[in-house]
Amino acid sequence: MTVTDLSCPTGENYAAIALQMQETALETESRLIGLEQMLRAANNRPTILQVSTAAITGLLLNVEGNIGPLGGGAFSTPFNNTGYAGNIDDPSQGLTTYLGDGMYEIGLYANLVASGAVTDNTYRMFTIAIDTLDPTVVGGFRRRVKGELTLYETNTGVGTDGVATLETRLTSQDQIRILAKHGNTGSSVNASIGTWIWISKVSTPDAVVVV
Amino acid sequence: MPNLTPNMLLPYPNGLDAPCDFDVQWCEFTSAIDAVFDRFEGALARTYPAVPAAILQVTTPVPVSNNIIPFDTVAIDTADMTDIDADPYTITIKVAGRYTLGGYTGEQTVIGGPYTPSIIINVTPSDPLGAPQSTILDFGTLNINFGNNVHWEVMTLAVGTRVRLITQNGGVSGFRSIDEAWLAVYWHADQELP
Repeated sequence: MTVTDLSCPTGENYAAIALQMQETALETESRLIGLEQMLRAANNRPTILQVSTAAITGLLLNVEGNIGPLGGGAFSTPFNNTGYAGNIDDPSQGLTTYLGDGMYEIGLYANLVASGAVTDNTYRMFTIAIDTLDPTVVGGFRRRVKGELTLYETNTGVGTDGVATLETRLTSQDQIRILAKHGNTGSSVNASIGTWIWISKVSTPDAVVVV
Repeated sequence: MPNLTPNMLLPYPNGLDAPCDFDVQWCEFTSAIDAVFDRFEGALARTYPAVPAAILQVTTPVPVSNNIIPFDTVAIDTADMTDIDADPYTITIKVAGRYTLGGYTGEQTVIGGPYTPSIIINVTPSDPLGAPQSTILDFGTLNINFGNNVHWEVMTLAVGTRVRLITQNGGVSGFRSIDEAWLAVYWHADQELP
């Protein structure tokens, strides 16, 4: 924020009082707007919320499948106060570069439903994973951390609902993956319309200064 | 110009001040506001946007049996809440307020049928609302490293409160390998009402 010192009159030209008052008012307002922006930025964490508008189909047995936009699914963005225009899990858009180093909370809700026969008591896995550059492999990535929930489908007819969360530090070398996996041998599995994913920046990595 | 506002000490003229002193009065007034702005902007610049936050991680598999998980890595700590050499189990609250707590374990499955693994975020001294816990049913599918996730959106914590992650076996004894785990704590408000 550019700071401009408030000005004051230079002569005893009383006819200019109104003009001077207007100038002071505008300068004061400018400083107040800057303060308000800083307060709002501190109060409103950068957050993106996306929801799928079509089912993501054909998740294969025992194979991690993308159920975020990276997997080709159609998603809308009901909320985004960051200015970042891409998808949460799109590595080509550089979300973690855009929002910067810091601590983040990432969340996933999905409903996984067998496309055909349900194999009773087989697992459904909901995963948020962070892959990061692997210095030992040219252009390679390795899994650094994940938040994951494993549930078992008991064939109730409504599929399996799961919520996973991940609090982690992200840097510009990280990629976010929104994944699902299953052990349903009877058929492939779909992620229903209405898969929610969200990310919110909690803090920069700097030390807290108590004023 | 003897009159001052009671809190910010901003000067303003009284009935005895001569109009010809207008420029002096105005300058004193704007200089006083400038000083207040500088103070506010300085305070905001120093506080925004870091908040008390810490994450402990298990990055190397560790055997644990019905006990507190020992962490090996500090992923982030903005408020001196961890000392992993002296106490690899604990995040200690240093700034009172409302916090969000999260935890995760990735564990090797058990061969031979269903059991219920639990993870608990242990808060000492305990919050009156109780500790967040997640219990899932594992059918013992082989070669699956299953995950258990726990989250508590709002908990009021005092200075000195210790936060730990505990894993429990349900119906199965012995050690299990905790392949991955993390415990996260972050502050988001310092009072109950705005």
